[in-house]
Amino acid sequence: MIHIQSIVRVAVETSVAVLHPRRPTVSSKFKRKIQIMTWFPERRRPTWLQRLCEAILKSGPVPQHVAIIMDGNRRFAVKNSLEKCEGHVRGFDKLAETLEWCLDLGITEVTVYAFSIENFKRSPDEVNGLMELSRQKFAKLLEERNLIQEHQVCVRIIGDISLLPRDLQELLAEAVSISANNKRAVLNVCFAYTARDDMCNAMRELSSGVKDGFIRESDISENLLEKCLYTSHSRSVDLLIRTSGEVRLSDFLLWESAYTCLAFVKVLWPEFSIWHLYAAILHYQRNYNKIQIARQNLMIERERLQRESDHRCMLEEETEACSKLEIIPPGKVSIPTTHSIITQNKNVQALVQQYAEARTERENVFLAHVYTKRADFIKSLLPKHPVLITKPPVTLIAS
Amino acid sequence: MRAYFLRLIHYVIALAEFLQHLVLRMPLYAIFTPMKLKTTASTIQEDSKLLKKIPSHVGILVAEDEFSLKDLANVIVWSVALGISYISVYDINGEIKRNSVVLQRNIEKSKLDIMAQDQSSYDIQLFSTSQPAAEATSNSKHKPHKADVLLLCIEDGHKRIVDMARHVSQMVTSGMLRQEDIIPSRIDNLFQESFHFPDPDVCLKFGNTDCLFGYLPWQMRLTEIISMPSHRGIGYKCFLSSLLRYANTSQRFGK
Repeated sequence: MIHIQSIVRVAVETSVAVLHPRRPTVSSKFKRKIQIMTWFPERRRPTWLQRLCEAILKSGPVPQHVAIIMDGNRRFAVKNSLEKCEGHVRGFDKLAETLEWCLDLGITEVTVYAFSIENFKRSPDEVNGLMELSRQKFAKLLEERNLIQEHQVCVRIIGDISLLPRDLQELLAEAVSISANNKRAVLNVCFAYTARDDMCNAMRELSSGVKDGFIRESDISENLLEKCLYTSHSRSVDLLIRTSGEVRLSDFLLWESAYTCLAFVKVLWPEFSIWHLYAAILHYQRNYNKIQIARQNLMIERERLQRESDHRCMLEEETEACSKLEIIPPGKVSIPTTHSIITQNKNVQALVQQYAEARTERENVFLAHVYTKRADFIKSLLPKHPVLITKPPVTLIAS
Repeated sequence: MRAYFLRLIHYVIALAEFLQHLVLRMPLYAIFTPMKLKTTASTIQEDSKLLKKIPSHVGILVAEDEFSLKDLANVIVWSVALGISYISVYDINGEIKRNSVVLQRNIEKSKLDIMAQDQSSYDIQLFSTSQPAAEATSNSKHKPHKADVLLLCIEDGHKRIVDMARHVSQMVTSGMLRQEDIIPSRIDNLFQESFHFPDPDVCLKFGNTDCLFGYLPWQMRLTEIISMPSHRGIGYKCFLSSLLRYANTSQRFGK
C-alpha cells in the first residue's frame, strides 16, 4: 500500500514537472494568446510498468464508458499560487492526456463535466475566461480536424448550448458535425449542462410529443424518457470518477449514474495521474459483479412493467371500442354479450403484441422527430457555405 | 499461458486491495463495537454541538443483502436524538419497506433503550410513498421532537420521474402548465409537493459496492455520499464520525 502511494506520488510529481515546464502565466483577462496544447498530444511511450499494469487490468472487465467530474482546478491554482484561469488550462491539458490513457486501456467513451449551468453564477471574469479557453480549445480542435478523422473520434456536446455565446455555439456545432460519423471513440463534453435541466428538457419533449399526437401519455416510460435525454446516443455509464475528494454528484448524470460504479479520488484534477486511473478501474472491477446483477434485474423489471402497461392499455382500448359499439346500436341486447365472447376468444397475447408493435412504431416516429429537430439546430449553427471554406479553388474555377 | 498469468496477478492485486480495505476499516469495528458504554440521549445531544451543521434529511441507503432492522432502528433513533427530523431508508428490493411493522417495533425498543425517561417526548413516524402517514394524532402534535421516516425502494427512483413526466404532459395538454415552464425549479416544487421531504443532505451508504442502485436520481443532486462497509453492528461512534465528515464539507453550489 505504502509502495503504491509513493509510486503514485513520484509519478505525479515527475509528470507534472515534465508536462508543464514553466508555462508563462496568464493575465486574468485571458486576452493574451496562450500556448495551446493540442487535443492529440504526441504519444508518449508507456513505461514497462504501465504496460504491465495495462495488460493486467485488461484481463478483467474494462469499463466501456467512463464519466469524469474534473474538480479541483481552482484549488490547484491556489495551492500552487497560480491564476484561476491557469488552473483551468492545466485541467484541460490533463483531459487530453486522460483521453489518451483511456483509449490505450480500451475505454471507448468518455464523458466530462466541462461547464455546469450553475457555473454561470461565478464571477464574470472567470466565466469569460472559461468561455475564452473553450473557444481556443475548440478552435484548436477544428484546426486539427485531420487528426480527429485519423483517430476516428466522435465529439458530442451534452447540454443546452443555446445558453452559450453565439460564436462558441458555432464552434461547438462545427466540431460535432465534422466528427459525427466517427466510430472508434466518443467524447461527450457536458457544456451548459445540469442533469435536472436535461430531465426537464426530456419532459418538455415528451409533453410536446403527447400534445402534438406523436405519442400517448401512457407511452411515457423509463426507456422513452431515457431516449429523450441528451445522452440518448451513449452507452450506459460504467464508471464515474470525481476528483478532489468531494463525494457528491453535483447535478451530473443523475439519471444515468444510478447503476454506475462511483470512484471518488482524493487528488485535484490537474494532479490526476495514470495510476489514479488504474486504481479507479481496479475499483470498478471489484464492484463489477454486483452492479451487473442489479442492471440485469433492472432490465427484466423494465420489460415486465412495459408488458403490463401494454396489456392494460390494450384492455382499455378494447373496452372503449366495445362501449362505442354498445352505444351505436341502442336497444340491441345481444351485442354486448356476443362482444364479450369475441373478446374472450380473441387471443389476448396477440392483441398485446399488436398493441406493443403500434406503440413502438409511435415511439420511433416521435424519437426520429426529436432527433431531427436537434440535428437541425446544430445544422443551423454551421457556417452558411461550408463548401467555400473547405474547397475554395474548385468554386473559384467554377465561377 | 500469458493470459492466465495476467489473470493470476489480477486476482492477487484484487485480493490485496480487498485485504487493505478490511484492515483500514477494521479498527472502527474492533474499537467501538465491543464498547458497551451506554449511548444516551443526553450524550447524543452533547455531541450534536460538535456538528457545524446538522442535516435536515439523512438518507440511509442499504446496499447489502442481509438486513438488521435492529441496527437500522438504532441509526434512526440516534439521528432523531441529534435533531434530524427527516430520515429516509432505501433498499433496492423494498425489503425494509415490506418489514415496516418489525422496524417500527425495533425503533420503539431502541427508543426506550436510548431515550429512557425522555422517550415519550419523541415521536417517530414510519411511512412510505404508497402508504402516506396517517393524520398526526392530537397527542403526537405536542411532542417536541417529531421525526418522519420514509421507507423507499426502487419504485421511488426513476419511476417517480416517469410519473412526473406523465403528470407534466397531462398538465400541458390540459393547459395548466406551459411548455416553457418545465424548468428544474418548477418541477422540483412539484416533486417536493408529492414527497413532503426536502432533498437528502447526506446519504449514508452501507455496503461494499460503490453504487447508488437507483437511489432517488432527482433528489440526490447535492447529496453527500458517505460510504460505510456495513450497517450490521454499527456503533454510535462510527455513525457520528460519518456525520462529522458531512458537517465539515462545504458546498460551493457551482460558484
